[in-house]
Amino acid sequence: MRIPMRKVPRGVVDIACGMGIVVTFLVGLVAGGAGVPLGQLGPALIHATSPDLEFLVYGVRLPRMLVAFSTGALLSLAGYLLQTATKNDLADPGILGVQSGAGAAVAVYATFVPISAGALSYQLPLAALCGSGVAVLLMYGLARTPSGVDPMRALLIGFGLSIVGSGGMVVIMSYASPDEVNLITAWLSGNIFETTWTFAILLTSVVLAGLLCLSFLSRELDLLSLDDHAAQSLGLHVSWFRAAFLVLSTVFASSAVCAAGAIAFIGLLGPHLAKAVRGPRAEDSLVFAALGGGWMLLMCDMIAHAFGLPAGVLTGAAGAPYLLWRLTRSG
Amino acid sequence: MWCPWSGPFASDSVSVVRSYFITVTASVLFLAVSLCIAMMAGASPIGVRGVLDALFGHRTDTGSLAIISLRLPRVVAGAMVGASLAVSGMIMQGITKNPLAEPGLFGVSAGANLALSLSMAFGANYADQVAPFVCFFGALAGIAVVTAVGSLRSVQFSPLRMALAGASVSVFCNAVAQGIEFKSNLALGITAWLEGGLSGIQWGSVLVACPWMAVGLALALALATELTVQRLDMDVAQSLGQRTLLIRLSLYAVVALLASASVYLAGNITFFGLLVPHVVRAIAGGEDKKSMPIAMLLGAGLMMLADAFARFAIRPYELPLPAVLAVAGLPFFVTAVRKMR
Repeated sequence: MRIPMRKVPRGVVDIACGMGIVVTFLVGLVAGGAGVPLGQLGPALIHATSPDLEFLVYGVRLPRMLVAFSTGALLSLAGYLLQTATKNDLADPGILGVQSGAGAAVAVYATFVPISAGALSYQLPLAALCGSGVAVLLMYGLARTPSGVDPMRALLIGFGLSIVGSGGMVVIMSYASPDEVNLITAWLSGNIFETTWTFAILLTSVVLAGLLCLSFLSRELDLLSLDDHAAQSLGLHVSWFRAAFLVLSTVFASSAVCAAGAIAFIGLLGPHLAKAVRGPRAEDSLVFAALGGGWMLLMCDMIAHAFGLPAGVLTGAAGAPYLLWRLTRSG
Repeated sequence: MWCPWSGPFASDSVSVVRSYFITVTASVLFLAVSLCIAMMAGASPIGVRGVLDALFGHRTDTGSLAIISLRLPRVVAGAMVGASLAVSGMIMQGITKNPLAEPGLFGVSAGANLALSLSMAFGANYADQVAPFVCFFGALAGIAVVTAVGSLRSVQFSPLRMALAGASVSVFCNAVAQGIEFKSNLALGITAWLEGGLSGIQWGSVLVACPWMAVGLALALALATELTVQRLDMDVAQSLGQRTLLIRLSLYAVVALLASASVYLAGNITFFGLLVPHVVRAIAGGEDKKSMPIAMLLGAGLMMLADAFARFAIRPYELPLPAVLAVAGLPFFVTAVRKMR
């Protein structure tokens, strides 16, 4: 599927998309439960206005939007890497059970290991990382047959794993105390709930570091999307790079889970949007995928927040029909 | 012994009859044992003697009352849900010729779930008589969507792809239902109910749902032979004199009946409708007239056992039954998926 954009100069597309993101950010800062006059926005951002307004814009909305944007970017990158590494166009960390693996691990950890407030910041993400790693390994191992990994089979097994992961989470929750249950349900529901500046900066830097790292690996990503034999004969150590990209993908996905719990389909939609606009080459589409995923989750979060819903509900309701539509097309 | 009409539909040699008799007896025994275990296990384990006293002794102590008003409805509901899910999975696998078909995975339960959330958001109460109707139409809608997608001319759906399409319909319905629940402040109640399985079930809702299931199971038995014909190619079935479309529609209606009443009683249960028919096919063969009663017996027994485990494992608390079944069903699901080309 390609949107015929060859006629439009690339710069124009870039500028339009950049403008779109900026406008979305502005709308998000201005609109909401309490409106902020557009003229007051600039002063609020440079600490030159009333404390209330400054708190609203700088202390509440901006970090939340940054977290949403970076989470979306991380999910989209995770999906991009999964799609390339498993040669599966429809892969998504949510559908493939990576996120619910992370969630189940967090539930286990929160229930059975006493957590100190200070250690929360690195223990839970580490647990999430382990869980998503196990989920990827399980999915890959179970879907693998002598004839290779069939995309549909991998997706279906991932889907089964995600059902079991969330089921396992519920089972573990029956052992947990009410406080722990609240903590875990916050992870389950797919809501952007970590909205502090520390977290926003942390996530943004993960995105930037990931993009930087991947910018050196774009050639390898392209090669990996070829047939394995072809990639090998072009000098790529296929299994190493596949493993490396899978690891990176689980890192991205589990950081996203730490911020927002289970949010499906951004990892499917983001890369597809990017490849439709910029073409399949990683060099062209990777940054665009991150931005597109971020923009989508930002939009979803804004809309969902306005209606008092978790963002995951909206991405599920929008993404599932897209997946269905893709399934009805050949390929 | 040669007879002119022997074949896949009528094999009545003595050894076949005998082995079928053994299978039926074993299944009935299994059901009886599970029934005993399910009646005895729970927050406070009660011996055989106590159970019998409570059921037939006109006793009025707390233990007996607990058995009659808490445990018995739950066991009955478990048996009915198990039989219904097993049979609806069997029918769906037969019609779609897809070994992965089952109400939980193919959007039928999710449709019922969505309809229920919608109706409750508009003020209906799930313990009343309307709820099963609502579930029924939701389940029918789910079937209609998945069938419509599956019959698109543009693609040849492989069974795997079809299962994924069903799964994405489920995901969509569940997401919308979740949104409605959040909007109308029902989230806690509905989630507890859909994830909680049979916990807290009472005679009221059992008596509402059981007639639906009984009708569905009876219809399924009546249509069993037709289901075997449906497993053939469409034109072969037609040339055997079956009014294929009519039969198919009525079988789908039976599935909706059974699956919706199961959702009403026990919430979202996945993999169970997949697991039981596979076991049944292995031990009772593919002739539905014979294997369907076995599926009912085994389904009922397994569900009672699973629920007993859910009640017993961490007493005095309970494990959520759908989650237990999801974890237990995964190996079967993965095996079934891996078997397909």
